[in-house]
Amino acid sequence: MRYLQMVRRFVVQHATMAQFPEDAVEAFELAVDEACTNVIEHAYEGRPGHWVDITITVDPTRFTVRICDDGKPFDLASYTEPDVPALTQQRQGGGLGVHIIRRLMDQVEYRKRDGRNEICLVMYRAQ
Amino acid sequence: MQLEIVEDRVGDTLILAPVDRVDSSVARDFEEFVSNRLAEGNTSLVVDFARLGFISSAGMRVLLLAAKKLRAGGGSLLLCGMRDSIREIFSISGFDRIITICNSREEALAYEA
Repeated sequence: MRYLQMVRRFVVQHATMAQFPEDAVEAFELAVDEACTNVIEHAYEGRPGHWVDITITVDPTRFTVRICDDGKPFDLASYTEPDVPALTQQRQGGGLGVHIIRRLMDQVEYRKRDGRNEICLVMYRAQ
Repeated sequence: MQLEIVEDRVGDTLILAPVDRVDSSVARDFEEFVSNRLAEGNTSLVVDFARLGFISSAGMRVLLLAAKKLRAGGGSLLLCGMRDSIREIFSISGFDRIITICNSREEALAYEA
């Protein structure tokens, strides 16, 4: 968790350099934070000593952040929209982070590849 | 990273202004802080976002929990001073339908009065 701020700075720096507008940069900052928090809390169940690989790809049409881990896979089938009033019943989870990511990003893809989990967060440039 | 909160009191209302960021690395500290203030008997709480640049769902959940506790005891929680991007997140999460959000601290205090 203590590296989250570093990760956010990394993404903000690159999204700013790629000349995305401020609101898009802030959307990426939050989406990446939520995705990495999910990896730490769910894929790795809060246990320290694991890796998270973050790759940024910038091209003329879009900005992509790929986050990889080798923890417990995210079960997309079990995902449901969060019930906000019920969120107080649980310390974590409830799908709020995933809901925020999906609303902020233009495209969100989950993949399982070579025993690794991958989530790709994509935002397209305004034409 | 440590949690920093500036506290202020106007009448019976306690105002908490978290500084810089409330992400999942400090959410538990934030929860404990708010929970302690409620346990001390504060029933009128305003959380001022004016100094806050970033909040994630872990921090938002703490506010939801506080709102629920306060409401159950006849108290109230108001949020104010949000920048547009944070307000948007509260809106897309549906939190703005559960917690009252005022534009400014002054508006929140007038609302409480």
